[in-house]
Amino acid sequence: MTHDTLKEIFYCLTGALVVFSGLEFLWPDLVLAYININWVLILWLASGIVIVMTKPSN
Amino acid sequence: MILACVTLWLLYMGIVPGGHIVYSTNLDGDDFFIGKLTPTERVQYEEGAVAIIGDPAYFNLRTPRPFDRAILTFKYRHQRINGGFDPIIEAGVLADKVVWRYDLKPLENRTIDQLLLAWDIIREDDIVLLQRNRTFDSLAAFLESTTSPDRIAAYNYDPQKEYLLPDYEAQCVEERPCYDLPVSLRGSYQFYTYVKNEELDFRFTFLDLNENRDGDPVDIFLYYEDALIESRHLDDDGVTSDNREKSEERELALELPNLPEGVYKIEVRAGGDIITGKIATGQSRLSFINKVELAKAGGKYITLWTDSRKIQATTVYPESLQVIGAGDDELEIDATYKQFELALDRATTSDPQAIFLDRDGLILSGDGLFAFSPEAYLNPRVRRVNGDLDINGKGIDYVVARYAGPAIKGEWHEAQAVFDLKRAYREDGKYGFIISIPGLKTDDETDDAVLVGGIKVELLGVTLWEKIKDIIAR
Repeated sequence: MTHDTLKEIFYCLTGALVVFSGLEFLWPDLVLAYININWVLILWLASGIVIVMTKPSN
Repeated sequence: MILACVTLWLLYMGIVPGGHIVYSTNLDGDDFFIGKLTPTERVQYEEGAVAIIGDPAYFNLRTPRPFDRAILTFKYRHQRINGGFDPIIEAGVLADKVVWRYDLKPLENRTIDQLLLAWDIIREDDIVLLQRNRTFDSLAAFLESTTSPDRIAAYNYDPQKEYLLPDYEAQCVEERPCYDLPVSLRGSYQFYTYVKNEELDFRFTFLDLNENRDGDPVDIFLYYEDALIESRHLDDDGVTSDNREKSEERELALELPNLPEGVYKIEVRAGGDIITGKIATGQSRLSFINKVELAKAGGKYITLWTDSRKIQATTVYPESLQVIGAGDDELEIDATYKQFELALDRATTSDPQAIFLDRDGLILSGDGLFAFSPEAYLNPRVRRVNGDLDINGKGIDYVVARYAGPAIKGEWHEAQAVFDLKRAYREDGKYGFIISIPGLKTDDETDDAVLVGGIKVELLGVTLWEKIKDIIAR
């Protein structure tokens, strides 16, 4: 998996966290009924760590 | 793109634009929408099965928005080890949180199921008329007939038989009111009364104990032939703290002249902080429905009359522990917060039986009516087909019920009940449901239970398009 793909995943998960949190704030339980945001957060964190660790050196 | 699709799908599932959605669970894990059956003392979660071992059990249904109607499908089977069968299973939705009233609907009634095999059946829509010998060719003919209410039993249906007392005469003629209830009552209660050529007049005196933090308004509703015809409201005393300072006594009157002769039902809806210190009335007939909660006001040697086949008694006051006398039987109340039950020997008479209390501070309940004198007793109800009704012994020839009965699928039963959610109580996005199995007890030294195989709830409500049209029309 390329570094750019990982970045895309990270941005997507960042967007998902923001959108899901916003939806959950506006309409409680709308997201939590179907998606466990904790897992999204863990994936987001993991993808961020992997990006940092696999950052190509200049 | 994926995120946009997921977000739209979440919104779709939340809005439910078609107004129809189904939630189901087989209870083998945590379901977000249909909560666990509770309480744990009466529900056993074992691998592969959930067993209700005591009555009642509850569950919550979480919905993203309000709905109008719910069709509950309950999958279950009976487990009888050293025990009898459970004659009635009902499901209900919480309709009123103040008095914890559930709108109960039948799932299974064994007595009616047996009559369906033996008696003549006329089924019209969802109503079934059962006749020992075929006398009527239609439900309408039966309802228009002058059949004595003593020969009729009903279940989940009110046959609306007119109940008149030909020998009744108003007792309070010169000065009204002329009767005072000899006890103080706590919380909510309902009673029947009778009016004939007289004014309906009740003067209630309330006081607020202020033991709980919530506001304690009082509402009084007057019903005639099951329709609400009048109401009264009394605001909270203004103290919404739990300072335990009793409020001043406040009076609320319900006075209506020129009412047609007949039975009227009065419902007093109030929280547990409200004490009805006095009911002054001109009506000579007064029968409390199913329950009376006697406040602790120092009253002694109280006698009640009831037509209940079983009575239950509970107290929260150590000073109110006592032995209740009923005919040749006695019921010892020797612990607080525990319900005690006594079966009354009522096989030979339909007259009310006296119950003798040493002191007040007791909650008395039963499947019948309670009066504070034999003269005040009044029973306009047709008998209800419950597990205790002796159809042959009581000379019942007709049973009318709104009842479908369960479908049998292998070893499982599947029963459905339809609920009007517009009249249901919804808090924090949840509706409260009850599964009632009268007679199923945890402490009766039997291992009988109702095993639950699954719960499905089909919800119906307004569509998104109907909602938009409604908003535009406003």
